[in-house]
Amino acid sequence: MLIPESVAAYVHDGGIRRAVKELIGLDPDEILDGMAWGELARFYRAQLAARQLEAEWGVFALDAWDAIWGGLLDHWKSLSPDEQMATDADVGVNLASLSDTDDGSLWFGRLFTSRNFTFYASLAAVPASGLRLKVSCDRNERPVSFADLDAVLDDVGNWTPAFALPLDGGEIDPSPLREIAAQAVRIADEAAAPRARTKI
Amino acid sequence: MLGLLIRAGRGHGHEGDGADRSDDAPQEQDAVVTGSPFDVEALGWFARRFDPSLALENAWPLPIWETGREALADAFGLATGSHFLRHHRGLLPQLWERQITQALRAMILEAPDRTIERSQALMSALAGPRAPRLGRVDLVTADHADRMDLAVHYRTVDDQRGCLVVEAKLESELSDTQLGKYLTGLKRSYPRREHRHLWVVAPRRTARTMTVLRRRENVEWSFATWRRLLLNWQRALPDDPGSDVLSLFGEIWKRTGGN
Repeated sequence: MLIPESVAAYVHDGGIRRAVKELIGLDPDEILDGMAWGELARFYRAQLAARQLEAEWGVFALDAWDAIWGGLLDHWKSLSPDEQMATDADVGVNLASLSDTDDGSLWFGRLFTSRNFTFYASLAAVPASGLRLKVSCDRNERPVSFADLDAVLDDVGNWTPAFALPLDGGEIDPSPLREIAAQAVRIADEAAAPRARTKI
Repeated sequence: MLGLLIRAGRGHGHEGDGADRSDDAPQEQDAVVTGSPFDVEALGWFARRFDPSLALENAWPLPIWETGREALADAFGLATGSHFLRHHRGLLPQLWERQITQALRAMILEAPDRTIERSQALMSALAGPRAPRLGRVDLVTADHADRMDLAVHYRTVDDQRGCLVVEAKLESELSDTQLGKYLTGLKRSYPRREHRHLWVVAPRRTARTMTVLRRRENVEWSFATWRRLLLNWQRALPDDPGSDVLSLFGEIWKRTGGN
């Protein structure tokens, strides 16, 4: 699977990353603030590049998600983009987006339900790290632990396995992440399975 | 193709409506068959259009990222080897106005051989092509309370005395009278307007700031955002201004709303 050059640049070059986030995050009334006529063409070209990166991450993230999580959650109910955005306020305007996290990760995730459980299957391109999984599963805000995946819990309730796939070269093989994803689904399945009542 | 359609339409009309054929009908058809200027232009128009079926087949050529990278580097001055946007940040506690202006003063005065260079870069960052060429820096102050936040007093290469003043804002707003009071004091030392370069620098334009700046007594004051100042200042500095400068700029960038 080919990594878009724009995504690799975003992950590895803090200057590009901050410039892109600056352009994507500008309020309409800030966009041309204090700019001279001679700077406008330069600004519009840069804005186009920022949007290019955002779009190329979206296309890559969808392909990578399919390669990692595709088929593993067929027995769960998939939420549509509309349902997901209505459910999860953090998703924001775009499903595959530049995140607001301090580390500047690019992320993409999908929500699934089974019984009363909600499973969040996502991935993130983390600067200075690589492509990583992020998972969460809970029922009525009671979270399932994914510590067995050698994962740490962040402050918004997502578990991040330690394994990271480097985004150094032009191509990646996502199969190691798929194996972790499969383990995560097994943990979620076990938690969501109906409990048999013990007869005395 | 348009010519053929027109001709087919006419032919159909003649055959289908049973109307009498007038004497000039053969002449109209002849004009189409021999090719009128309209038909040639119409065919050319279609020939020049991009084939829309490529879009339907998802076969648009991908934009070249290198062009985008160059555009970003150009807009943010990233071509230089060391840029504050690439510099590690987060070591300092949250800065306040006075800490920022005092740190900037210390940066300007850090080394005597760099004071003019850094002052000139600040002047160029704010005043652009109208910036005077500095020959000597006499005094740099960073005060607080009811005094000017940051002031650089200089002599140009033509030995003209002048000053550059930055009124630094973060969350607080300008008071009604402070800019006018500063100007009154400055006029005593620098009577000529072209020797005074007065700027209000804030994270963004607020309605309050612009209302104050539009008043007649404040017409000499200009406005710049912190982020624009920092990008322009770095652009005007030498390629490697040192890690302390990069770190300070990075902290101010973040403190004033930058990513």
